[in-house]
Order: sequence, then C-alpha cells, then structure tokens
Amino acid sequence: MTLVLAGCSTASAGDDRVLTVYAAASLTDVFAQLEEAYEAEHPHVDVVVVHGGSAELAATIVEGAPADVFASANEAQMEAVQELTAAPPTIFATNTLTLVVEDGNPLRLAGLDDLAREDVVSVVCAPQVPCGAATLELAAAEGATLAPSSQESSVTDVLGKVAAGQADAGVVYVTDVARASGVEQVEIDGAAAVVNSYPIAPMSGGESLDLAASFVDLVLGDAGQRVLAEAGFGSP
Amino acid sequence: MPRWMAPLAVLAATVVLLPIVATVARLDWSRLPELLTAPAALDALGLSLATAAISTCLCLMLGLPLGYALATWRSRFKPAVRALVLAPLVLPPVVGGLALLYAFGRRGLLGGALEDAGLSLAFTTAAVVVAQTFVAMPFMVLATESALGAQAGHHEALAGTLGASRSTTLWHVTLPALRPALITGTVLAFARALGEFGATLTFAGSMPGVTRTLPLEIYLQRETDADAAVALAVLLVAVAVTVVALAYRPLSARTPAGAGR
Amino acid sequence: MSLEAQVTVASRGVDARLAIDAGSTLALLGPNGSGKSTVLAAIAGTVRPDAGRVALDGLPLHDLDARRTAWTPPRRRGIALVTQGHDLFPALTVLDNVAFGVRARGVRRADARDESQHWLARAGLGDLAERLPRDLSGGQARRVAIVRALASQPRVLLLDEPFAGVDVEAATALRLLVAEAAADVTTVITTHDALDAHLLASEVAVLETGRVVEQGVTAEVLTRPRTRFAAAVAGRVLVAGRAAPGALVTADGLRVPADSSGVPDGSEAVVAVAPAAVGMTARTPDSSEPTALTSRAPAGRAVDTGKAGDGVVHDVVAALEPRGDVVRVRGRLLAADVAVADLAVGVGDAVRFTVPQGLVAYRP
Repeated sequence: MTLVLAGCSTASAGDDRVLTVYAAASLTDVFAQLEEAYEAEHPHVDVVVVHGGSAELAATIVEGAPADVFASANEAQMEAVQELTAAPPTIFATNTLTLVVEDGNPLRLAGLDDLAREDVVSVVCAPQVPCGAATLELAAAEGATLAPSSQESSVTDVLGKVAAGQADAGVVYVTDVARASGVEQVEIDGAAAVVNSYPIAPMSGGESLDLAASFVDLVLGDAGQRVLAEAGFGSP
Repeated sequence: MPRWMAPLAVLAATVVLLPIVATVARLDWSRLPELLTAPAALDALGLSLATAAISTCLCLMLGLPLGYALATWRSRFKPAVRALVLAPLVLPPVVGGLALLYAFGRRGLLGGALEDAGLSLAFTTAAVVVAQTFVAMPFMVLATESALGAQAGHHEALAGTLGASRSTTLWHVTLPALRPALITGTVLAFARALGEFGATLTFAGSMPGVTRTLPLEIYLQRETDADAAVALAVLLVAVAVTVVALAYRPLSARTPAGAGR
Repeated sequence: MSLEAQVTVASRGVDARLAIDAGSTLALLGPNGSGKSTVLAAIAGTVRPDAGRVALDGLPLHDLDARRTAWTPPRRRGIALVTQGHDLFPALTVLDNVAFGVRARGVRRADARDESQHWLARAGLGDLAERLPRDLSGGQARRVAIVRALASQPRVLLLDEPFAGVDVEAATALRLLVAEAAADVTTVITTHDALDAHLLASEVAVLETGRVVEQGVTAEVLTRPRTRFAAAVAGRVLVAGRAAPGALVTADGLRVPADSSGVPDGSEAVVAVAPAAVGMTARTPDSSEPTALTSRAPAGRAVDTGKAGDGVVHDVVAALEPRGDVVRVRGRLLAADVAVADLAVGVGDAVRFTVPQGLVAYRP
C-alpha cells in the first residue's frame, strides 16, 4: 500500500505551523495548486498534502492519523470518519464517468453497450469500490450489459490496464483521463445521471482548526472552484 | 550467543510477531465462520492454492536447472547473472507487474507473438501463474545454488567414473542430495506465490474466480468490510505458516554440506 | 589392461608421462602440490587436459594431440576414481552407494543390493550397510568409496592418496583393502609416502612439479634414486661424486666407501644413503681434529662441513624433523636418524656423521 506523499514543501525557517490535508488521489494535481495558493496567502503555514485512495485515507484517520482536513472522493468514506469531523462536510466538486479507450479509438467504441462486444476486452472498477458502484448504477440506468475481463480495485488500475494496452476500454472518471497518456475519452450518454460527489471537512483530530477552516474556504471559494473546473471537475 | 544479543533477538521477534498478533486480535470471531465461508472468500482461496501450487511446480522444474547451472558455471559474469536472476526479490511488486506487462502483455515484447499463437495471457489464470512464478523463482534458484555450493559437480563426476549415465546420476545422486534444499525452496516459493499481490494486480487483473487471488480479495474487501479483510488475511497467514512449519527446516541443518561430513 | 598416459594441464603446471603394465600397480609418488591429483583426474576424464593422450591396451581414451581430437567421457572409460574428498553420495546409505557402482554396470536393482552386500561383507564393512556417509569415520568412508569403485568392476582403479587424513588405526584396515584391490585390477595410487609405494606398488613414478622425473621398478627407483628429488621423496640422501676403486669421491675430496664395480673409475656416480643407517656424534667445531673444508660451503657462509676422513663427514645441523620414534638430523651434506632419547644436538651444532658400510655407487 503506497501512500503518495506529494506537495510536501520543504519547511523553511519562517514556517511555524503545519496544515495536514488528506486528499483523494484523483485530486493530486488540483490540490498541488491549491497548496501553493494557500501558502502564498499564509506565509507562516506549511501545507502538507497526503494523497491516497479515499478508503485508505479514511482508515488511517480512524486509526488516529493527524489530519486537519479530509477531502474524500466519495460520501461513503466521509461517513466513515463522521465522528471525527469538526464541521459538517460540504460537497466541493463532482465527477462523472466516461469511457477511456486507446488514442484514436481504433475499435470505434461509442458507449457502454459496446463493452459487451466479443472483440472488446474491457475492465471496470470492482463493485466494492465507489467507481465500480457508480459504473454498475450507470449501466443499470442505461440498460447496458457489462462483460468486464477484470474488476479492478481502483480507477488507477483500470486506467493503467487501458494505457498499457492490456484492455481495449475501461470506465473511469472524466478527470482521470487527463492523467494517462495514449488514451482518450469517449463520452457516455447519460453519464450525468450518475454523479460522484467530493465532500470536504475540517477534522477535529488536528491541531490547526482555524487553518483547516480557511483551507476549506479556499477550496469552496472562487479560486478553488476555478482550479477544479480547469481539471474537469463539475461544480456541486 | 553473547548475552547482549538476547534483547535484540527478542526485539526482532517482537517486530515480526506483534503485527501478526495484532491482526489476529482484530478478528471478529462471531462473524468468522460466515466471513471465511463466503463464496467470494472460498473462490479466492481455491484460486490462490491452485495457482500457487502450479507456480511452485514451475519454479521447481525451471529453478532447479537454473540454480544447478549457476552453481557449476565458471564465469566472471556469474555474479552479475545471479544478481539479475534474483531481481524479482527486490523489485517493488507493482514494478514487477509492469515488467511482466512489458514482456508478456498484449503490447509487450512477446505479447504479439503469443497473441498470434492464440495464447493471450491478458486477464487469464495463466497470467496469475506467470506473475507468481516470476516472483517465487529466485527462492528455488538460491536454495539449489547454495545447497550445491563449492562441491557442485564433484559427486556427479565420480558417478561418471563408476560408469553411470548422466540421467541416472541426476536421479540417484544429485536430486537426493538436493532434497533438503528443494523442500526449502519449494516451501519458500509456495509461500511467496501465495502472498503474491502487486504483480498479479498489475499484470493479471482482478476477476472473481479467474484472477482474483486471496491477497487481491483481501485488498478489495478492505474497501467495504475491514472485518472480512482481516479474517481473510489471518486465513492466508495461517495457510502459509502451516506449510512452512510442516516442511521447512533451516538449510544448514540438513544439507550434506552441514556438520555431518 | 596396460595404460599409457601423457597429460598436460598448463594451468596447474602438469606435463607428465607415465605407463603401467596390465594388472600391475603403479605408485605416483610426489609431494603435495606436485600435480598427482590432476594426473589422475585427467586419466579418469573428470578434468579435460590441454593436451596429451591416454590409451588403454593401445586404444586411445582420449587423444588431444591428434589433428582430430578424440574424447571418451568418463562414464565410458571403465576407469574408477577414488579421490581424497568426500566421495560418498551423501543422501545414499553405504549399501546404496555401493549398489550405485554395481547398477552402473547394468545389474538389476534387487541383484545389485545382494551383490553390494557381498562386496561390503568381503571388506568387513557389512555392519555399516544401512548407515549414511555422515555417520562414518574418515577411514570407513574411504573404504566404502574404494569398495564402491571395485564394485563397478573398472578396467583401471585410480586411488588418490588413499591414506591421507586417515588415522593410524583406521589405516590398517584401509591398507589391507587397498592391497587386495590393487592385486585384482590395474591400479594407480598416488602417495607422498615412499613406504606406501614400497608396500603396494610394483612400479613407481616420481612426480616433481608436474613432471615425471623417474619411473621404474619400485625397489630400484627407491633404493637407487638418480635425482636429488627422487632421493628426497624416497627418504634418502643422494651423495654425488666420481667413482674410484672401492669408493665414491665427492668434489670436496670426501671419500665414501662404496662398491663402485658397476661404474668405470673416474666417471660420475652417486650413492643413496638411508639416514637410518647413518651414525652421528656431536663434535666441538674448534677441536684439533682434521679441519673441515669450508671452501665448498654455500656462498657467503663459511661453515664447518666436509671431509674428515674415510666415511666420516663433519657437518652442521640444519634442521631437525620428528619421524615417529626417531628424529631426522639433517645436515648440509648428510642426514641421520637418531633415537629421541639420544638426541643431544640442536640446529647450528657441529656433528660428525658416519657413513654406513655396504653402499653401492651407480650412474646418476
């Protein structure tokens, strides 16, 4: 299990306070920008962003990890840390599903229905993880039958299989497609019907409640929303 | 053993045992029967045992000759070749998976040729076996090579002067002498194959009954039901510990290179 | 089976030629490191020499000198080798080890076990049949290894230092077995002990740094060595000089009484002196006795050695070597074996050696 430690700026002599932010892996690029923006406004604060799968992050928070802010990729994991939040969680972004295929879409895939084609090797998230649950929900809403070759345990694994060419297509979030090279997106009709919401909340376990609140404000504010929109996230 | 080493030995045991004990302590005993007999758990366990057994056989069939070759090969390149053969031991699991993709994946070095031959490994149980064999092979190679040691070839040469053919010598001289090392190598390889996770996840995928072995099932269960993950983890550890306890003895105590000679 | 061998292994400095008649036993005599084991390994084919030829009854087993080199693998040579190492297959019982040798001849498993039992019984090893090699003493293991080699019924048996590293008691049984084995089959035994060569071999070849410097009938070579090296290996001291009536006269003018009838007067001759037959007494270097010659002493060392009259040599003790019950007092010219109780000299002391009667001078 790898906890991706990213955006840890080197502590300089002027930093006298640290703000620890636990954020879902899909937020990596966005939160790197937000960290920079926040530190520009608060020169004496060092923001440390810890990235990982939402479930993983939630589990470590429950075990006592010192998180000041938790930004989850789904509401279920926020519920798991419910008792540790310092304020009610707020939805700050949304994400929708899309097909990811090899660049140029050589198999001419047009939607979820094509995933059941004999000549198509497809992978999806396992139903046990949020993206998998969302995929099933969307397939049901669209009346499509899925015939995946593998049910991966994370969006990253789905994306990896398609990027490596092991699979011809996969179902991932819109914002994920930009993270991989050699792949492109094929919009799914009705994808907007299944929206994945990203909640954020300050955590009571941390020691910097005021800073946590101001970071949450940044994310919810115009600056934060602009960065999220640029990365392909929808607004709540 | 000098007295000052005793606390260190205790510390070492603690470092290894405490996490295991802590995991067992987390078990939800009341749900255990239900968790362990869940179809998904049984499927994963069955798949794990079957693939690990096949991988171990492959390691034995291939790792033994390689270890033998390494022990008898006289070359200045030997240390380098040995180090490369042992690389799977140090490769981070996911990197191992990527390496397998680059070799046997649909777009890998051999992938095209395999595909043309109708042997697509992608998302098949065979891919799981390949991943496990890849990571477990070094144990068999090491066990064989170190058991043969500097004496490699001596008894075989003498068997030749007695008039025995090479295969007679292999079956009646070499293999019996290697038996302890082969048992050790087999047990370690099996345990390693059983616990294989990263390379399987990256290379073979995760499909119930096809490629989702017990470690992958545990990883997935953790997302929704931590109790189930813990129960399965304890099951995995129990299987591995049992196998090791039954079959494994330290090499030095039983090899001919030991005190008896 | 007569055996001829010419073995060249450059990396070990071996370039040896030897021959042995069918049914006889040859002792390959030389100190440790002289290349004995390499010669045996090359004959057996377990080491591939750089050059040379090995032939059995005139038919080549290998010929690396010919334009088209020929090589017979060890398993088709019918030459069994017993080394100084751990020869027994560690995972097999004593019986199975011997049975391996029998089965290699194509005997069926059950018959091979019976026959092996018989072989072991003959060697007095029947009790050890079910033991594993690790439970044997060094001497027992060596005996089983020899029995196993015999059980394969080889055309030639090669024994590499069969008594090395075996304690005295175990060596007795081992010697008996080796003597029996050598009586049955053409055998080459390597040893650094001239006594073993005397007892076991009809012929001896003396190996000096990879080369055979003398080969011949054992008694001949060992009692009348022609080279200083062979004499040393045979445990004798060679005194060189010229033949004179009834004596050999060294370049220093020392007169050693000897039967010189076989050598023309004035021609080069040697006598081999057995230290056991040499008498020795201590002497004070500045005594009034006839002065020793110092001119021929090693350069820069004006030592008190040389002529002191017929058959009497003045010398200085260079080294003391324990040999069982006696100490070999080694001077610069001669040596004498002295009972431990009688030893009253140390290194550097002046001594007087008395050459024994009945020496024979011969051509070097």
